[in-house]
Amino acid sequence: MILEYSPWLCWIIPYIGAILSLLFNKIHHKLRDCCALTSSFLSAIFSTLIIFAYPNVLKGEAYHSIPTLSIKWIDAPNVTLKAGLLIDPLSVFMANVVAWISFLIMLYSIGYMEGDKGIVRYWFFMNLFIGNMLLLVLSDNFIQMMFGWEGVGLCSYALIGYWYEDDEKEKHIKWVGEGLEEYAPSHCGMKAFITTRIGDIGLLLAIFIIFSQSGTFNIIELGKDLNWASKLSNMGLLLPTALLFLLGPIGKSAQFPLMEWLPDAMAGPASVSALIHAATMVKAGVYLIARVFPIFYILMHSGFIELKIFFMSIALIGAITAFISATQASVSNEIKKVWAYSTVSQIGYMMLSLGIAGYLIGDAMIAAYVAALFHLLSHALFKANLFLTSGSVIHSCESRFMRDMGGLLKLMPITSISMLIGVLALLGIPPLLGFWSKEGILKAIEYGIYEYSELSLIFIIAAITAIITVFYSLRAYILTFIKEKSGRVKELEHHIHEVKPVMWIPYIILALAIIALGFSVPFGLEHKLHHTFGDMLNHYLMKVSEHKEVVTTQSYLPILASILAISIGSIISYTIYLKKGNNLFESLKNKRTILIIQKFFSNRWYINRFWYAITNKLLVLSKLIHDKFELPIVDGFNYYLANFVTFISNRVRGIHTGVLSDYMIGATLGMVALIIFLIILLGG
Amino acid sequence: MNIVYIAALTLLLIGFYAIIFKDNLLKKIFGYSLLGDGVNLLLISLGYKFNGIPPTITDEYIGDIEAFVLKSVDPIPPALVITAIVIGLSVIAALLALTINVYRVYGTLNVRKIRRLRG
Amino acid sequence: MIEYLLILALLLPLICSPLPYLLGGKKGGLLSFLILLISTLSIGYLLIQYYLNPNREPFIVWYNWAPDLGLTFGLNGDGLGLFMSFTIAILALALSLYSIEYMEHEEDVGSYFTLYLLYSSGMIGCVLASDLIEFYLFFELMLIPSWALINQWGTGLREKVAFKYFIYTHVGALSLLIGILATGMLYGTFDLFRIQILLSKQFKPDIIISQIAAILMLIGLMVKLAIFPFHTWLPDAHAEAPTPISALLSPAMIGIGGYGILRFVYGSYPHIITNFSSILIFQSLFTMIYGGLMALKQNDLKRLLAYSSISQMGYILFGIAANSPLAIVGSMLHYFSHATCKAMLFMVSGIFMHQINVRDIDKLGSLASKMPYTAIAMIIGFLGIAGTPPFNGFQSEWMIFSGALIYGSLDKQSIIVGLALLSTALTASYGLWTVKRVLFGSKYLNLDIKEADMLMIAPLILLILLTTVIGIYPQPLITPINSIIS
Repeated sequence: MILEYSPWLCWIIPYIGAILSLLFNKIHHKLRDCCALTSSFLSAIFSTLIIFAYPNVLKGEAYHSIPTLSIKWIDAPNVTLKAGLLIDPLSVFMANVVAWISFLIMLYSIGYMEGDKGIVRYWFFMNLFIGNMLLLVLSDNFIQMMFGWEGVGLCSYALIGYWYEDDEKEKHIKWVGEGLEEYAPSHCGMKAFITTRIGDIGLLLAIFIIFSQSGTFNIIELGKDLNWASKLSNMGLLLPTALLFLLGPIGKSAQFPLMEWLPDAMAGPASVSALIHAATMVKAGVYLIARVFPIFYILMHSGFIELKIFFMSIALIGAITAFISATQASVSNEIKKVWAYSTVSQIGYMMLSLGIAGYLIGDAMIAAYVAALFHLLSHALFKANLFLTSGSVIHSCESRFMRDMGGLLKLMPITSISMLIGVLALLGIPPLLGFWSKEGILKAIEYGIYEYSELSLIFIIAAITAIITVFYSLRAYILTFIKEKSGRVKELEHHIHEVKPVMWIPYIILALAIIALGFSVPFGLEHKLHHTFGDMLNHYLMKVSEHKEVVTTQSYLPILASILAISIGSIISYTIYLKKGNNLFESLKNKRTILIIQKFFSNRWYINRFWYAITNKLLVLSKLIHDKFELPIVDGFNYYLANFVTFISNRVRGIHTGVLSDYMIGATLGMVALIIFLIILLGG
Repeated sequence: MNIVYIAALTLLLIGFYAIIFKDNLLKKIFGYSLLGDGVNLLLISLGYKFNGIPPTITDEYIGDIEAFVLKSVDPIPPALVITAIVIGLSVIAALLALTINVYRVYGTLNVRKIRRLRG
Repeated sequence: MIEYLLILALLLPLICSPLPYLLGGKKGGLLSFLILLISTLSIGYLLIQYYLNPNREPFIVWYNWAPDLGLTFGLNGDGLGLFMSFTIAILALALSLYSIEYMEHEEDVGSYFTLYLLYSSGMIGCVLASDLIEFYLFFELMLIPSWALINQWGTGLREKVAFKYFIYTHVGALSLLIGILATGMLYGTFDLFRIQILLSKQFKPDIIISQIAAILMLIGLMVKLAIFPFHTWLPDAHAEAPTPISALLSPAMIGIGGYGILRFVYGSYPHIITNFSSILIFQSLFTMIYGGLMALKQNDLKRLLAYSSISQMGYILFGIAANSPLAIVGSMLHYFSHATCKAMLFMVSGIFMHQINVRDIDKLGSLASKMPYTAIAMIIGFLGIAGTPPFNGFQSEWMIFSGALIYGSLDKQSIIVGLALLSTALTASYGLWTVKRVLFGSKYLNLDIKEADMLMIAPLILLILLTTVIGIYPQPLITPINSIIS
């Protein structure tokens, strides 16, 4: 019985846990921590139980709109909303990823956030976040999904700005950025919220436009009856709507051009960065696109060719973002920021794959779709791992800058091995998980090239980005662990030791998962996923399910590209940063072109400056309008009017001379006028 | 144009002239009085019949009402005028009382100098 | 018999209003709180009964007031009226509690509460009125106590500001009056019920005069609703009024303009008003964005909230003008959500003034750690009007925007709705920016600032609860509104 309601329990329990932890705070702090941890554990358990409750999910079927999954919610004119959950492979997959990684991060937090005085707020928002994220992936209609979507934005705002006191003394830990771009936590939270808000404008507008033509917000219903699309297309609005829809994921998943909030979101604690900005919230955009993918795919293949531009945009934006942020990662001085840029870049890969899937058909399409999701899983694992380990390192060295680290290999062995595994996965070294997922994406692009040769540009960008990825990840690792100890490390050497078990157990588990899952791929993990999602997609794309066997010449291009990327990148990295007694680093350091390039990258391609310029201009504009227009003219109108009336009345006042004779003149004239008037009136 | 009308009109005009153009309060009151006189004169003369008899029934006309009505002067206007004269009298009395007070307060009766009514 | 609760709710504050003056100070405050509690409970009870009754029968009290003049006096307790009066009553209730604490240092508090009760009953009467002249009567009844309240207990150049407010809104009310008189002349009656009956019999009054009357009424109500360009009374009035009164002025009173447009102008001239849709939509769009832009620049917290209110009233008009039932339901729900959120925000600013005596944003900072409840209320308030789930702002906004897209040519409407959504981003911006400047940072950590007293916090908590609960499950409020709109 409970099993059937496990989807509901899955997302409601964290909410309850959040509120309970507020209450338990008054009783005892251990009880509160326990409560927070338990609720995330329970929700993880329930997310797995969903598979047992609805077993056909493994065969690709979707459950929705059955009585256990949907209840009446809002009854308004023109629309009746039901609050409901959609259980299909995609949502179950996402729910499990989210719930389990969240649990591990909560475990880590017990150690990481110990002693922080605002920790009640922390538990509250973390649990609230988990609940919202699960609500997001499990919802079956857009309005409910927006609760989750905006809800995670809200929790992200609260958690990024967690150390809201903007303590200047702790700048080296709690702030982000340096020089002109140094930002306080409260500022970063606001920036994140507003940037995602701008993306949400597009998303909401698209949802409302679709609603106006279809009368429903329910995703399944939208997929079944596609009348709305023809109506929109007749008005020439189908493609704009799709592109507006895309704005939401662009904002939430920090893609170009709304990507600037994510690096600055590193002002939050490392566990927050791990949870929100690596494993879950930023994946929400990818999830959304994956969710509506079938709908737009059917539409495109039913004759609305304009949607091809939609898929092209996804792929292109993914590729561009991947490249841009990879370059920015290679010059970053803070360790968390490197992983932040890396996240943006990897999500670019996922978007890329989804975009290309729109071009393909049959098995190739499924392969591309699955590649994106598979990369989502592996990225979640290794990025969470990287962030958590970075958190430990920052904690030990009391600084977020990599120049204050170094030589930690012997001082923090468990952490360094964990991070090594994470880095290797990011590089794409076989047989770790990252290799297989990256392979999948490159293969997908390759399938695309067979039919559309313009995609080879994208392949090149992806390959170059892979090289840069290798470069920056090795750079980060070397600077943190292998290079000689920095001054600060030497100061703190006595205090630096391995972290508590409650902190390293989570990331070791993640590392082990990466290895284990990586090894299980040749034994069929990827095939299983392929089958399940393939069935799901075929189920949704009822009309276009041509199991066309695509030309699968055993091409070694992807593998070749990967290996090449790894080798080139590691060689560059090694020579610059590691090789002892080399003058390459020194000589390069002062070369003018390198300096220019570095400046360009570290100024984040001036995109950040661009957005700030816009917001500043907006403020200036509002001030200008206020001072020049509102006050003098609009408000001034009142005073003009009042002055005018006073003026007239002063003039008229002249009649009251005070002299009796003048009054008598007036009286006489009035009398005469009356008489004449009467004569005319009566005479006529 | 009956000469009495012209006389009445002249009285009215003189009265208006005095009220409007004379600066002295007393002269304005004279003017007011003249106005009253002119109007009264006008009223009475309106009721006059040429070669009429006074409006009392004498022995001559005791049986013959129509002849009497034909020949007599209209009695109503004089009645009204008597009322008007009395009212005019009381108004002038009040005006004169106020004028005395104005003189006490301001020391002058020149309206150009008494401008308290200036609004 | 139950409908006599309506009269109780309305007349009790009205009749008991001299009592606080006699009791003075705190006791007067408590008495007014009790009276408003009775009013709120009775309206709430009626609302629940209405909700439970599947037939949705309205509660109507109706008297022939002056038959020779064709005037009736009626209290129209149908879904919309009950809903609005419930909102106003709750707000008045919460703020009366708040006022007790807030006004403790002021003089002459007894008359304050007298005027407060008069003001509240004026507002409740306005939304329950069923007769045009009665509506106008209560309209002016709202005006005069608020003028007196600003004049006596306001801040800054209060007499001048009160005077400006009075004259401006009074002129608007005069325009409304002329429109009402014209309407009465056209239909031969002022009573809304009779007008409805006439309309259902296909009675079509003279087109030109109808249009003029409708425009006049619209102008009058738009002055109250503070739509550009009739909004200039609002920043000064809200900024300089005593805070509990600002909290009533802004959410409760100006929204009555929107209610008036919906009930009376739409009710009397349904065939004409659709012609004005596009103008009204453009005006409301402009108001939304303009209000938001002006709010960005402000340094005075209360003026910022005032401009924010102007922007939100734009939303309400937008929904009404959009000509679709969904949008209209959304805009009335927005009245409620804006009411709770804005009242919270004004209360927060009042708490700042009470505890710290500072109102300028650049002099405030780092208050979150000192005043946790206030900080939570402020964040929820701003997020609520920005339309963030799970607060009620989101529910009203999605309804307004979806509804707006249903009718009309989609490509033009989409751009309009897109711009409207942009204004929500604007709202979020100035909201969060203010929150950051006021609550976060560490400028004043070492100053001794205490959290406000329970009397001021309790109303905040009430409103927070309302905001969140209705945000998640707005159905109890939607059903009453819905039954009338259709």
